[in-house]
Amino acid sequence: MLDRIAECLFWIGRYTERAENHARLLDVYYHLREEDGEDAEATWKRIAEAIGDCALYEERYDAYRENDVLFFLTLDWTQPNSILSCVTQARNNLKKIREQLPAELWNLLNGFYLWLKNMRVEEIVQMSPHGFFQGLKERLAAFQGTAVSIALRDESWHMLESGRYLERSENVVRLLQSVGRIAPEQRKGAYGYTVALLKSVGGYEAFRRLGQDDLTLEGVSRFLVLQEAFPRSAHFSLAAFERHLKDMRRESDKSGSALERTIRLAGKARSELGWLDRDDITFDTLNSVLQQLLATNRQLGEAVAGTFFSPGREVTA
Amino acid sequence: MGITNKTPVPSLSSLYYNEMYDGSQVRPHYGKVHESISRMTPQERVARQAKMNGRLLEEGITFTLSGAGQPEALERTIPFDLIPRIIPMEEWETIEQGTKQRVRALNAFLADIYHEQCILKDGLVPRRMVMGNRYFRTEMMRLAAPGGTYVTASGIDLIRDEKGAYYVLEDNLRSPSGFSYVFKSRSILTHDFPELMFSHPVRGIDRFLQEFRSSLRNLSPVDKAEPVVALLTPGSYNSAYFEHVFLAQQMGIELVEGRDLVCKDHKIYIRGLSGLKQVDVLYRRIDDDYLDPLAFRPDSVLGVAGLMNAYRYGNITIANAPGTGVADDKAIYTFVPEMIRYYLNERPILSNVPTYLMSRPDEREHVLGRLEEMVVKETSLSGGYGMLVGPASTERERELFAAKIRENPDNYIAQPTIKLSTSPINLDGRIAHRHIDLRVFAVADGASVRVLPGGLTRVAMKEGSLVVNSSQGGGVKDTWVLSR
Repeated sequence: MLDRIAECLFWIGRYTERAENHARLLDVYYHLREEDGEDAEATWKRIAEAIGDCALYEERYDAYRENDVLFFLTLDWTQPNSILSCVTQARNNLKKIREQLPAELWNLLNGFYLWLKNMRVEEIVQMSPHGFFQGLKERLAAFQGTAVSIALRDESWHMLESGRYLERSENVVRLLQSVGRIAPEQRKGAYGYTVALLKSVGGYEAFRRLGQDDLTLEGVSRFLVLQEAFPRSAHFSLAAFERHLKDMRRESDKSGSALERTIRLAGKARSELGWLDRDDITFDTLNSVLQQLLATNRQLGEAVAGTFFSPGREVTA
Repeated sequence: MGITNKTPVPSLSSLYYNEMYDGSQVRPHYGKVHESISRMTPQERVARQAKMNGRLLEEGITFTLSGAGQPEALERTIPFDLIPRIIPMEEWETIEQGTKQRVRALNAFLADIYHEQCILKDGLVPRRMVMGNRYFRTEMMRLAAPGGTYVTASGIDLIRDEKGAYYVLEDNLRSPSGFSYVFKSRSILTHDFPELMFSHPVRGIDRFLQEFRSSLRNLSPVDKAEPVVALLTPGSYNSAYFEHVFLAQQMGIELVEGRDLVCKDHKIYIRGLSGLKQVDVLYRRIDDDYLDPLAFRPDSVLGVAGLMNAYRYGNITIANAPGTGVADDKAIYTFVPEMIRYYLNERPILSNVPTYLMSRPDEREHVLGRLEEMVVKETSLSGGYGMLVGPASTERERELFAAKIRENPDNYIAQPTIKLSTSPINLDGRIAHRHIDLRVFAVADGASVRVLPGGLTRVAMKEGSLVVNSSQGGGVKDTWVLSR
């Protein structure tokens, strides 16, 4: 596999995962407002904050309004974190290396991109935002499911998946960081908010099935960081990331020390989470745990870039 | 009730051969298609067409036009027409044999002019026309091409005169494109118009990719069990990138850009994560000029420095070989029937369009006497540049062109205004008649020439237009060869 191909695959994984996280989060946040009594402007601001850059928003709009916020977060291709931007990035990366993945995957992602690109905010509001977010999730699931079903399990698969899981672990952290920002006096009563958080990652039923009844922000945070059986937890994501890196080492005869270092780094992060006790995550420690995780994620991203895609590097046999 | 109820068959029908109609009669091999299309209402035809267009876009069957001020380059789909073009079995037999014959003769010609030059010594082709040609590569002199195959992939463009006879309009021997449109057209018609497709005994085309793949592998300079074949593309910004992706993916060969390759010890390698992998056959989709900055244009960033040396050392095969352009030159084209007689001792199966060489005084005077009926082309240019279209020109333009011809007769050829057959197309639900041509694809390795059954039917979407190039808004049709 070529450097540039590895890079594209990694980013396809990351951007499709990011789009899914955004769609899930927006879906839940959008509907959360019906339950509490805050004024509309504050609601839209909270939603904008979830994934967007508020400074950029305020530069462009004078107030937080439903259509503007929805456009900003979903369809604005000049906003690098909008869902359209993520999908476009994933699609453009795939376009460069189409021959590496089955044609069905390209058709799905490109069809998705065309659908989204032609969507207008008015349509979203009209057809119900829930339906829209549902549509996003289903299209992303179709892409992911088809990949699982037919993609060859070679280096390119592991590259794609390692991008996906690194992104997922980072998204969990960012999601929880937004929890950390809630004022302490509001935390206890924020039941709706807690449930919403759990639902946004599709983890409510899993949480219940595991017999946990500590439905507080603390409990949910523990679940999302530590629960290794839940596929959207930080622990699970890092473990999957590490596994795919190891598989890549087996596939290629590359035994470079850079790859070894990256694998060790991922293993360290994963086992550190494994050692954490439930009491280690409380409101007071949550922030530092998250900071730590975020730094690890950044380090891992840089390590992958350094190992696999330094451009123009001479490779010798 | 027939198509003719919506639009009368144009009175042009006597001037041009209509693929579907013989006068007011539907030709027998179009019977069922005619019936199906006539049964549909205009709305149904529009809906069906829209569905197919949507699929083209979704599958990214596009060519790219870069425009300034765009957030991203414009991606256009090729207009695809839902009415197929049908070629009966016996007609195809002639086309296939004629194409094979032509490709064999052209390969023999290239092998000859880059070695013994018998055809020049025997005076059949003027030496200056070959040696002075801008596509002639002295670098290729006396280099052995594996299997004697210079032209691996070729596209032969055919047109039909008013009686329906096929003529070769030109040979594309450098890096012909359009393969992917053939396969995608077929896939779309099969999926979105299955009842039409399955009511005909249409010859399959999938095997051609397998044959293409084995032809490329057979060209490997060394006898390896698993030769590495790579397609060299200029990159994702190239207008034909979709085709490169398609071919690489469908044939299971590597898709590489110049920057992915490195030359060491006169061997070419792909730089991969797991080290270097030697390339045995390079199917290149970039021009000679850009192949190797050390041998050709020094400013090329698309090629690989050292490629030509690796080729000289016999460590890699380049397909098509450098220097094939000399054989698809418009003046050399005139001599192809001669080549067939000279090298193969056969009678040419497909005729050339009558072509006058301006370097021959009697032909020149003949043409200059009736410029208003002629199309004059500059031999080394293509794509409609440097051309005089007699019937559409003014007195003044003709005078100026005549002067240019006299000044430099070697550079020009003339042909009677070409005739292209017409075929019905679906235009917003209505049926209209437009000009079409046919690009027939062949692949050759040392042992054999294989022809793709059907090929690419290109349609001039503008009324009366004879220009079918996709860059000029030309469309495509699925092309069926009947197996009985």
